[in-house]
Amino acid sequence: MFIDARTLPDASLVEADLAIIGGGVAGITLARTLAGHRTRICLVEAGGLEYDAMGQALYEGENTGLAYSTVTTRQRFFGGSSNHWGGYCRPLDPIDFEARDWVPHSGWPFGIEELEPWYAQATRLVEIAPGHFDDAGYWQAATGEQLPAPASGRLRMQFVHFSPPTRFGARYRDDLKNAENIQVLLNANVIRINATRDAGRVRQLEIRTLTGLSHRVKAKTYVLATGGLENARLLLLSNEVVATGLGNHHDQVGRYFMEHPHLSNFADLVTADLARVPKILRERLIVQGRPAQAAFNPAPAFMREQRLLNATFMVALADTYPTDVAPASADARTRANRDMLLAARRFLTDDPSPGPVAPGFRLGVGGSCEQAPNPDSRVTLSTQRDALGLPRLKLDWRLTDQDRRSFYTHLRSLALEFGALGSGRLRETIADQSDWPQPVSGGSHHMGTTRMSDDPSRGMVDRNGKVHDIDNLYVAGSSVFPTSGSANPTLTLVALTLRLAEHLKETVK
Amino acid sequence: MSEQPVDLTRRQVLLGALSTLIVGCSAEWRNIITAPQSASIHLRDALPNLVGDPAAAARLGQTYLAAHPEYRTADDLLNAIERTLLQHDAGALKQMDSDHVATAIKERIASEYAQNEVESVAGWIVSETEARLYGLTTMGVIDSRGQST
Ligand SMILES: Cc1cc2nc3c(=O)[nH]c(=O)nc-3n(C[C@H](O)[C@H](O)[C@H](O)COP(=O)(O)OP(=O)(O)OC[C@H]3O[C@@H](n4cnc5c(N)ncnc54)[C@H](O)[C@@H]3O)c2cc1C
Repeated sequence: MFIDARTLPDASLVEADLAIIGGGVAGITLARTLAGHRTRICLVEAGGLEYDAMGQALYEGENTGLAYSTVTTRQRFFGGSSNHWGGYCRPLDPIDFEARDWVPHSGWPFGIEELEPWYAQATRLVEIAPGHFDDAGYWQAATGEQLPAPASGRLRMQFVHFSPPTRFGARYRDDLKNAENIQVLLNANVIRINATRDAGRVRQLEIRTLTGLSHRVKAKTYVLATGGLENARLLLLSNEVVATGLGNHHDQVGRYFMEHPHLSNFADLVTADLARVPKILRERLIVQGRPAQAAFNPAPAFMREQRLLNATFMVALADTYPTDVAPASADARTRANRDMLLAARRFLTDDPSPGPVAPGFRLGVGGSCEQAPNPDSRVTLSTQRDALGLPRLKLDWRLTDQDRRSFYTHLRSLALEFGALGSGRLRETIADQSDWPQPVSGGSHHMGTTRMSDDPSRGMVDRNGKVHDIDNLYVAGSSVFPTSGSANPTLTLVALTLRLAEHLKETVK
Repeated sequence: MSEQPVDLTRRQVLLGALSTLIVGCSAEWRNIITAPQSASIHLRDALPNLVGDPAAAARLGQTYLAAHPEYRTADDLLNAIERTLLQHDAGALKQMDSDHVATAIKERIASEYAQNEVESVAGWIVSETEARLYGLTTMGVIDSRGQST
């Protein structure tokens, strides 16, 4: 059942066994998984079924670190940010879960094997083909194209699946609507989570609508699933019992904000012979009805040896240089690319033809990097207030030298790999690698602000996502990731949420 | 096409092969070229296959040479390439004809990429041997049609 909180009488009280705060990817996944279960669920969603500018404006925030939009990188209505996500899906790598001595604050409470069964189920929810994420043999057989064996030992090939992309709100709305144990409260902004005096339990949620109504939701168990930025903000806002914010005894809430730093225009890759760059390396191919594309990731042994973070690079055909004579209008970039293609032609193609030749192609390079967990990269509260009278979010996104060094080293690996395979030459177009060029952006991936650790002084939720020291409050979403890896986060957060659902089936009666 | 001389030394093979790369370029470089004399015609014919478009290669080579003042003559570059090849192919190289030398150089270049033996030339990540070939091109013995001069 869907209820619009604006239509309820003021000061209504809604009761349930389980209250889920946030109807985005995590919240919908959790509710849907528990549909038909004996637990009475209230899913509390800030927005309605459609985008609304006033509601979205509640996501505005202040920046004190690297420039970062807190509005365009998420969506505040039913379905959450899946309403405009890109659908890139890949699990984290085994190394991402490890405590790596060269990555401060790294290490999950468990290894990838704990998530593997949940990843398998998660693929169905995001509607991608199952697995084969690092199985080059499978893709070779499926596409009929020989895939090159990596030559430098520094990179390996993995495979990204693309969700349609599944809009969780539209796709699973009916499942929630038809479930007798689920109530979805729309246009209901949770403005505070009230705790008992000893801060050991959550008592209720305070709800406010943009039309000025106030309601309450009471449940036995609560799951916070408002996204990687808002999860931290809501805990910080809930400060009547613990002045620094709920669950923040150890000053962990809001710290360790991680993104996947993305750069633009950092490299040109040219290739003379597309036959040397199998299609799946440069475009999305439909394999058994579903799209997939190869990505380049650093080899774990190389990361260990060089003490580097993870990264992902993908390439795509961006430009064709069709004639042997550069047009008079050619810009410096085009001329440089053509020069390299013409000079290195003998190394890049088997075509021995003398005389005028079409030089080749430019491949665009997309890259993103793991960001090392950094306590100073953080979410706090601003002195500015939103339309509900609440302090806005203040984001201080900070990157480290290690992040940058990793990105550039892996970029170099990409150049080496294409060079060694005789399939391309790469030009680094960032002159000064001693700093991050502007703009450095993110991938709209908000991670780390309520990190998971078995040790309460190192993370605010335990291995099940339960807030340490609070009996009945859990957190779902990528804010619990202790490290970010370089894979897009949604598949992993769905897997974690499915795992949490299983845990709650046992614990919530 | 002439026969491959059987007793050609490795250095003769290399010098002969690589001298054919040298492209028409700035007078400044022409003046200091000391073109090796021992090259066979056979090798001269074979080695331009290593450089695609001489003019484009020469432009890259110019940037490379500007960053490497230690290479003042074609011989300096040839010696550097030879040393690199001998280091890796000491025995076999002696027996090679020009085609095989060209292949060995291509393989060497691929392996330099794999081993991170590269330089940045105008932002391009280029294998050391490949960059030296472009440098040689700048010093000039191939005409604009890619023929040895
Ligand atoms: C442009 C874009 C492209 C992306 N592309 C990809 C991609 O290709 N691959 C990938 O893996 N990820 C991608 N992402 C990220 C992906 O969308 C998120 O990882 C995912 O949506 C996070 O799920 P979530 O449930 O934690 O948060 P959300 O999906 O953001 O859901 C949070 C929900 O909580 C609600 N809410 C917020 N505050 C409150 C409150 N106070 N009270 C009640 N409800 C509240 C919101 O309205 C929202 O519905 C992309 C994101 C964007 C913006």
